[in-house]
Amino acid sequence: MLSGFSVENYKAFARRQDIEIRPLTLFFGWNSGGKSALVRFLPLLAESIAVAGPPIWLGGAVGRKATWSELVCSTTERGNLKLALRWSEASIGAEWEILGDLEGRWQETTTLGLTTQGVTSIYTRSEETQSWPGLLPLTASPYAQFDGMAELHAKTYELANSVQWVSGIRARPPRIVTYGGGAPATLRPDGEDCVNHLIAAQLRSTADPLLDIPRKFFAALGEQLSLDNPVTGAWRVLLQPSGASNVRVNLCDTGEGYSQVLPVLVALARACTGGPKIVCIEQPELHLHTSAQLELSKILIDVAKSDKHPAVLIETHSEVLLTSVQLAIANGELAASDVRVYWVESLRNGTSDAISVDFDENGSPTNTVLASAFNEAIQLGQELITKQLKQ
Amino acid sequence: MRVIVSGTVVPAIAGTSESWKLHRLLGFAVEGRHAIVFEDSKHLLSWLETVDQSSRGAYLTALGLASRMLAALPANVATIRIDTGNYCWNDPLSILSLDDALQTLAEPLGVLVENSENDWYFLRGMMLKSERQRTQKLLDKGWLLPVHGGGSTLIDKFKERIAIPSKGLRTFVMFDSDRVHPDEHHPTWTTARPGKQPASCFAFEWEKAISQVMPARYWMLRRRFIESYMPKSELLIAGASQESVAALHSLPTEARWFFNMKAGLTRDAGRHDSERAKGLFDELTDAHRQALAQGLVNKLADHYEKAITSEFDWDTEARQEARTAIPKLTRLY
Repeated sequence: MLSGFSVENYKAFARRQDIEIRPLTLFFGWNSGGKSALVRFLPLLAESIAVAGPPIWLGGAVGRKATWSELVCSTTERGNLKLALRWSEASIGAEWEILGDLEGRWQETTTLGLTTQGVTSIYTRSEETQSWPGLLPLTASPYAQFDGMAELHAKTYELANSVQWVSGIRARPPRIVTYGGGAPATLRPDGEDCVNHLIAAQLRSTADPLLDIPRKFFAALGEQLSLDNPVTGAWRVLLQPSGASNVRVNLCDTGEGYSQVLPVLVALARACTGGPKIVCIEQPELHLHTSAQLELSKILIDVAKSDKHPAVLIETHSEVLLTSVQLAIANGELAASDVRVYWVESLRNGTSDAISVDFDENGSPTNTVLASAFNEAIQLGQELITKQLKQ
Repeated sequence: MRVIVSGTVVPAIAGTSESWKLHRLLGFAVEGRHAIVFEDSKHLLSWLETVDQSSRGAYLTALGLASRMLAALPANVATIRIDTGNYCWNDPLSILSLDDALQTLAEPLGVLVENSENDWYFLRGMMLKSERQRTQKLLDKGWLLPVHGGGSTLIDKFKERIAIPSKGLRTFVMFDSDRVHPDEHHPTWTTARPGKQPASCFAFEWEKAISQVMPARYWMLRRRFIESYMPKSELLIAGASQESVAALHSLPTEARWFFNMKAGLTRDAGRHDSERAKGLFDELTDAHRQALAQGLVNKLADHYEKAITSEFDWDTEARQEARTAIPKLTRLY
């Protein structure tokens, strides 16, 4: 399993950022600081590996047709991107330096530092480009014969299939879903096809474990989630209030919160049932009231404890999620070592740093960085009561 | 600060002529100055029934907000426990009477620095933006004050403050290391020079005195002076010559950190304890030695204040040092 990654000269991150991946890795920070860039980094890498084109493929869903100069940090005026991957169970790690033309005409891996059994070897690509077009040399090339290269190949290709990205812009589930069988290995980033996975699960068995997490979330909020199949091949996702057996509402007719959270729930459920185990989610709490955020937090904590060992990376502004995680640690429901928070701090010069925050066994952060995280809401409350007292 | 009110405090004072002290205490929570929690809500709620409705509502809201504030604070945040016995003025946990607590909580946090302008702006510049914003709010409200130590008299100001326990508990100190070689940070180093006049190093004595009283409330810089942290690009903006900056950056990193940025190699060579540099600058070329003879620029430290709106490109080691040191200050807020 991937245990961490590093980036340098990537988006707002001029300096090297070492990101450790825990069962729950949360990214907090102001807008436009770089949280999304960090959460999207593994999806970008997975997309690039899958395409087997240039080292970093910018033409896909994550790359969004960015140019190389938009990928690297504009403050540094350097054209090289540095990245590293580390795996926990393997005695292997790799660091790449990728050079790109700022005008976007070309990019190439210039060096690869491959660490095996604690020994690092630096491979520099020769002028001959045919055998090393992307992140890794082709398996038939002479480079591929070096120690550890075969394992690195295996690990990176495994990574390409292990990452699920749930973007911050999600599609509303269709009123009617036509289903002809099967579901893609990964959800679309906007989650539009998440219902297909639910249908596939229900067709396997109404007790299929993939259905557990979505059902549990809605049940906690007094709703029963069901899949209705009125016509062959046509399906509807319905919610039924627990106190009204005759009322069934199509999910697409509910407020945005429930439809926005469904892809999140399906991605998390899949991570626990054989789907991609690294789930990168932007704003899972979109449109959710704090009571629903609380239930979602419980789900996330349960997933972090799953014996399938998924890793969930989340970009969020949810104070409820953070406090829930702290409380779960304090209650002994979640190990402090299973959580890592990064506060993404943006500087006035347009660069950012990801400052790590761990927790002690009482759920207290180990530094003061989060003291500013939700300060505005608290200060507004204090200003209000001060004003009210004076009148 | 975090304030924990023990269960014995409210019953002892509620209904007496001193109950105004509870209003004073809760006032700190209302204005967001300190985060207050009551161990025993039953007695508090009973007492709140006796106060006017608007105050009651404000106090309850303030206590709710305080809980949210506290959730984001680390375990080592400076804490006062208000109790009716077993008093102590310790850090991070003091146990104080209500009267002493009220006096301490009203005390602005004093950040004692050698120069309340240059050193303060250096410290401010080293902060994360979020820390800087928090700090500025405290400054604006008068809850935090940079205290001018006046160079060599810093230790006297320190002693004045700690003589008053409520001031002492609300004191943080930052000072130059005054070291001239990295080896002088070793725990066994002293200013003693057998048969000779002791080495001149204020910070050596200061650290001994300060760490004894408040081991977790000071920052002795790793490098020689605040000027030793100034990024290359800022040195040029501050008026240092290209030659002197190039000469400085021809030095190995640690030699650069202990170079006399203010007065240069010549002044250091004339010190009575000049051997302390232990050949740190021996590898300099003649041209570079010449460029560094008189220091980089007069009143270089003023640049920290002049460049207050700039974000300095601190080097990695400076950032790491700040990440360890500044939370020692912010945990006192």
